[in-house]
Amino acid sequence: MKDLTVSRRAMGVASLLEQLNRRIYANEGPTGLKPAQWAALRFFLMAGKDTRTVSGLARFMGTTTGPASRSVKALVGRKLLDAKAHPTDKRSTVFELTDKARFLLENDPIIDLALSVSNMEVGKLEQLAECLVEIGTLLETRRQGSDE
Amino acid sequence: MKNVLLVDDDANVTEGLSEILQRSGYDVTTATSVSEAQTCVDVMEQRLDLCIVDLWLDESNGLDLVKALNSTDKPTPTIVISGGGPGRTLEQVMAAANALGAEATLQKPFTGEELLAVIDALGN
Repeated sequence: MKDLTVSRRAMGVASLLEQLNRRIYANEGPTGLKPAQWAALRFFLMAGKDTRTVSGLARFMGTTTGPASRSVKALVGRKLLDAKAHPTDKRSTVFELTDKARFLLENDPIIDLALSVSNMEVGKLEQLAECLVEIGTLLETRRQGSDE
Repeated sequence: MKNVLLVDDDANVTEGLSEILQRSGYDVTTATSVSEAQTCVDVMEQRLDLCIVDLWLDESNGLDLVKALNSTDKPTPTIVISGGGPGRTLEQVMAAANALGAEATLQKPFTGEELLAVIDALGN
């Protein structure tokens, strides 16, 4: 049987992180976009012209091409991405944000969060970033361990 | 002449990017590890104008370098480049790099034009 004993402190921190995650997307309005789809839109906003592909998105998100392809398909269906032929590689398709997507990204829920933390002291932000990186690594390690 | 430190453990990348940067008038120093880069930073002191660092250098954590470059009285503008690697997703690493002070991030592969555009946008 799995040992599920965790300290009250650890559960408190985990609960705060989970609550924050929910609150980030609580006021986004009627877009119906999932967090992974918002992340995909941000990727296509920032990516270079040769990486705006399904495989570029998959590499960025650390997934296989299946989930990335499904995200892209959903965004194309919502008219947030346009598919175009790759300028040099005819076997590949690149995706561009539509005007509708650019408008949506002006109200990206992550902006609210960034503005909220922007007045925090730099040292605190660095410590927070390092803690979050460590938590992400620990979670990944734990999940890899439970897959084996 | 602007001094750029280029840190990547892939010789093909450092050679290619050095050529692009030198053609655009930059004086380029290369390093293949974080410890080598740190030595370059110490030697160049105040003369370093920009650092371009790959975040999956072998046997080292480029995030430590990003943090070190941005924890001084005169932070060095830093561009993080990466094509992904083991352990963390590119998304996580790019976000962490930004949080620790990187001025810009670029996912490999990118063109010379894209790199130069990012540098121009930083005012270098």
